[in-house]
Amino acid sequence: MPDVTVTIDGVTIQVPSGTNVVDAARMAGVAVPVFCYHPRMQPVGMCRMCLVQIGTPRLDPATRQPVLDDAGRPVIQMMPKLQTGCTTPVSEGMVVNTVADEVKFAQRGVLEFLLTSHPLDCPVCDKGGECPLQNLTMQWGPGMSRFDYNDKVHFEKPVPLGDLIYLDRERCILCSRCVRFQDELADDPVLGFDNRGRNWMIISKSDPPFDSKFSGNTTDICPVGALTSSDFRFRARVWELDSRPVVCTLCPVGCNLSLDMRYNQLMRVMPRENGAVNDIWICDKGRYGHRFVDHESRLTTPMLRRDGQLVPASWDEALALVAEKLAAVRQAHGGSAIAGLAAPRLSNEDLYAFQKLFREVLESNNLDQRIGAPGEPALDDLGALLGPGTGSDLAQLGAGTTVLVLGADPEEEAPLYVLRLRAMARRGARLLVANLRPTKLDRSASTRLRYRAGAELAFLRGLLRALSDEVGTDRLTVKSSGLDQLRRALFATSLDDTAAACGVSAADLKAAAATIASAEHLLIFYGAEARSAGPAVVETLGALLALAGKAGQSNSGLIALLPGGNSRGALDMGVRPDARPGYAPLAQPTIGARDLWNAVQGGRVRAVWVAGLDPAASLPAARAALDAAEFVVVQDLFLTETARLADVVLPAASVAERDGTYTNAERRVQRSRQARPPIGESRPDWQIVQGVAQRLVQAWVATGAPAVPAKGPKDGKGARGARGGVEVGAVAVAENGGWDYLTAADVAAEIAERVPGYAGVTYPALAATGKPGSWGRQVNEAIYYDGTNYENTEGVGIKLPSLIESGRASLNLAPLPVPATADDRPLLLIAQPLAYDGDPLLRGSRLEAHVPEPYVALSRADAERQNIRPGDIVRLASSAGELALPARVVDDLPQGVALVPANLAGVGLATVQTGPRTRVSLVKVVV
Amino acid sequence: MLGELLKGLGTTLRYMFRQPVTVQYPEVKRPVRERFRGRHELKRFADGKERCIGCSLCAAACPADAILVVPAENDPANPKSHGERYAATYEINMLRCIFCGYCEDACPTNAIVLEHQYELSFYDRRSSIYTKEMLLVPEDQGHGDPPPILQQLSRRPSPPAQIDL
Amino acid sequence: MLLDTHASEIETILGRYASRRSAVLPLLYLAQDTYGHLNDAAIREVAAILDLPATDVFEVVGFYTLFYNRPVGTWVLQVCDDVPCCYLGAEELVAALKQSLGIQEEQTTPDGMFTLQRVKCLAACDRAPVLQANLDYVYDVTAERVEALLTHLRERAAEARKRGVSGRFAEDYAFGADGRPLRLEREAPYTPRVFTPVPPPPEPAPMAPPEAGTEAESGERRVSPL
Repeated sequence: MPDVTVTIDGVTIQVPSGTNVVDAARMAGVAVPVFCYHPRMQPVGMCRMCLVQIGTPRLDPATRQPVLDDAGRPVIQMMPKLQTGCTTPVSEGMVVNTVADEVKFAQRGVLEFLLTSHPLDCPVCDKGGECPLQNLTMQWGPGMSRFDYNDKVHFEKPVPLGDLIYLDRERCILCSRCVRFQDELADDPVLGFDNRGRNWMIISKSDPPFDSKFSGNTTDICPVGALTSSDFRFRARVWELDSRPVVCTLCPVGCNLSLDMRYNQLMRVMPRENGAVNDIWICDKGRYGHRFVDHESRLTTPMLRRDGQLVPASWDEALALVAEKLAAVRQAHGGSAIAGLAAPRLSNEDLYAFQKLFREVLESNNLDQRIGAPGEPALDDLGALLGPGTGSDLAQLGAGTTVLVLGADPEEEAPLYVLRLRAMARRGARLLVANLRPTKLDRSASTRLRYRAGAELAFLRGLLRALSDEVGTDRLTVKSSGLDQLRRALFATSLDDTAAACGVSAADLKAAAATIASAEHLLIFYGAEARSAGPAVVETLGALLALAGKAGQSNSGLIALLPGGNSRGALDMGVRPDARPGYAPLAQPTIGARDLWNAVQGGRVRAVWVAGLDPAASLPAARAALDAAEFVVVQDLFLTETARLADVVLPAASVAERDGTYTNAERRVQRSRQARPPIGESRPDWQIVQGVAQRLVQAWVATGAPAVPAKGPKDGKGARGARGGVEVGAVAVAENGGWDYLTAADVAAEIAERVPGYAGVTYPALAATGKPGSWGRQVNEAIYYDGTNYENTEGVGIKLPSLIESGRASLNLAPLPVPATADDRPLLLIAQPLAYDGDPLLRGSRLEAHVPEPYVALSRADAERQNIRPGDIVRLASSAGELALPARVVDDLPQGVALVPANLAGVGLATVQTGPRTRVSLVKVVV
Repeated sequence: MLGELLKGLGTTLRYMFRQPVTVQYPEVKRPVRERFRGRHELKRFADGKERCIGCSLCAAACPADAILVVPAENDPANPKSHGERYAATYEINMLRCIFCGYCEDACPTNAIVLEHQYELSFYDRRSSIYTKEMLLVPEDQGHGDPPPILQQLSRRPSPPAQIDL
Repeated sequence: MLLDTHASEIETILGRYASRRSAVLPLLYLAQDTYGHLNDAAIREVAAILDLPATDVFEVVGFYTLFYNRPVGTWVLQVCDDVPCCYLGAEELVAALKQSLGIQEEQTTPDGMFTLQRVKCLAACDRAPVLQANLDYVYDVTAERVEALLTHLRERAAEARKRGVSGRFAEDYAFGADGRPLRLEREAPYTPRVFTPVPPPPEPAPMAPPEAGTEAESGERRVSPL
């Protein structure tokens, strides 16, 4: 956009045309106070706080040229009245005066009026201390009010808008920031204004009230204490809080959080600004779902099983026992008799140490990040192979970008991506949403594509065919193989036939392909629904990206929405049975979670180590196997079902209690810091792993047993730039076989050295990734837009290059064989991921009330056929088993699909599932 | 020689008939000035409700970081103070306190007042922490009416649609 | 359900507008006439018909004074108490109505006939004081005309019930020479009100003489003793 020159309080600057006066003034270093204006939303000019004097050059009506005065300067014609700066775009030669007496008079007047009905109960207000109304009144307001205190309008305080947000109507200044946030940014239009005049007030009439996954953000942007969090109500004053930067591990977005602590207790969770990840927003799951760190059921001491009971023990005892037992199993049955499962929410350091212990010390490759449930899809490699290239930044994408969201429900799987995708769409990106069922993102889509249930592959082949008709294969520049097979598969059927097979018209496919072909950047999001359709679907997405010529490019790539906050990191770190760290494939795949429970029963696996996962809760097979296993170690935050079966239970530190790095869905590595000391005697997972590894190594050194591979010694020097100040002697290093990390930074340094793709990702490098954004708590900054602190001191993180970009892998385009299914049961059972599900991390939070009761969602047609009404109990039967659930009838669900929440406690979905997708028949249970 | 002795004894004799400047502490306690800053008290209003609203401004003002306030929400049926909020925990560490009176200045409801009690001694550090129960005056010793700002909080809501429609 | 009972009417209303959401006002009137007032269920029903978020429709109902979100009587008397009406006796009118009906503002008579409300300007200041009975305007309602008005409205109760509380077929009334309300033609030529001379108010206390400068500027303007 062309720049225009404006003069604001004597400062002449160039700003992009279209900028409003408030923003332009900010660029000039002049603060214009605002309440209703928010840079992320459309201006409305409701609060009148930004009134300024504006003048433009006078134009000669005849020549349309500026009139010049005697000195040759343009004559400025001031507008007769003050203008709202937020709704006035700058124009060439504009002159703005924000300090005129008239302006000051107006500002004082506006503030006096805003305070006429304000209760002035700042001492008891949760916003007090970070309140723009306080700040602006101090700086621009009148010292006195001419209004009588007893004339203030008085409402009942506070009223719950939902169970997470309370509204104090007396404090509300009716700026409509919350209403606009819900309408414009979140697309949950659940807030509105009721009544008028002095009784104007915010209402929410959705069912349940304030039904939004982003409701907490309204409390951040509320410029007064009208909207407050029920979760933080009267817990602390904001100046008492110590903000600690952590990364959210509840979903793969990896939002930057501040944990606001007081005396080492978590008071509230706030967003940290990171334009590349979460901007200044977080979802309610991240905001309210961190109460688990303080939950009373946290494990605080190691526990050993003695006489069938778990009894507290010391760390020394516990670690020694684990080392002794594992050594014994390895001695007797070899390393392959030991298996390890680690949760994909643990940090990279934990996961690296975990797999290192198994691969290098125990010599076992039986690792996985899943629990072996039949519904779990295959591990996702393509998100790394074709992930967005280096330099990708979601904040920069807009016009020219095409985003394809396939088989995903971002609102449930990775809520914050809804905001990011909507923001991109608002900036002009084309958003193609392809799904077999409607999701909330449909409303924001520029093109909606609804394929038939089970026809994902046909749809993608159709799209690919249309794309190759459009651009051919010339744009395919990356290393690849199998193009001919792909072409053969594509051209085996005509586009019309494919279109008929998938239920999307050929014209729509062509239009979508044209949008993809013309895009400057192409991002493809895919979620659980797409992955459940089988690896062939995901492979085809890769082919689509490659044929569009966007593979390995910046701002283009595949983003997989996987379960678990660090699932991409777990894959990168090689916590999987078929590859080492950095996707280096193993010659022989070993026992993964899927085969593990059988292997335990069959005696091939004797000892199991479970870190942060709870297979026993949802898998009867796992429960039986863990019961039968010779030795079970569980490290977790809570005494889970699995932990109850363990021989040794080790208390782990939560994300708030340790340092670590996490890799998000787009492969951005971000650093999370320790917010407080570990609770009780709990330790970070990597330390627990190291404790066992050191004992094992020392035992073998002492006994002269077949020792560890001699990879250790060189780690002591050189590359470990981030090592702490303590030098460890070479002898100790040799004795510990490379297990001598003092801090998480040491582990990270070794990851940077040894995991392909992570080169350079050390803590100092992460800290040096810049201080983004503009929302810090500085003079004239906080006052300017907001009282809330979004300051990010940890940098934006390091975006890893995709594998294809770094040339470490090539793309196989050859279509994967699609296994034929012979099951002719009428319904397709799909596990539906929910944001508020049975995740044990939600315990203690107010979100527990939002976890739905188990249900099966059916289409109206299917329900009517069997005369099923909502609430009726229905029995789902597959070739694996049966499951009885209450029915929900959903109007816009396609026929032939049954949705069951994936991770609800007590559903027992595993009893009926035969794979990620299961054919089931349905019978109404007559009571 | 003798002269000096007599002079000295004379001084002693003279003082025998004077009022002593010392007092027999602890039997006798010397009165303090009106503005003396001694042990804190948490006051009440005449209606018996606590003046403290748990705002933590005293803790913010305290240069010695001697005050801990943990606020909580009033039970509407049985409120401890006017308005929504009260101090669930109110502790002053008397070993830390420097009796500067900043807390008094900061208090929006004149709840905390440094009174005239100055006998603060403890056998252990733990007992130097004065809890809310120790600091709060008895229920019948409240004084004053709540200021309009607090009365407003306890007022019935304005009836809707009464003012402007 | 509205869709069951008024399907064709809804269809007609929706057909009038290019975008569905534009039909919110007529549909709310329809719902109000059908149910007597707009309870939450009725508002949600309208929202469902129009495919709007429920909150948006609640906003509309809350904003307009002619949508009633609680039960009202057959006649809703909305008395303007804005400045011109106030000068010409709106307060006295309200007091007379309250006394005659035995209710306060926002209340309904026990027989369910009248609901009394105060509203701001009804845009008929030339014939103040004005009140609105459902949507019928009644002009020049002074306090002494209250009884005649109420009698007249009681007589027309059956008509009002038939028309519904929204009064979608509004009429204008003034008072005839016999003191009874008289229906006016909508397009009738304006007949100015006949003022009965009022005794002049007592001389106000002498005020400080206005400054010469202001006098010159303001010309004929006088500072009102009120």
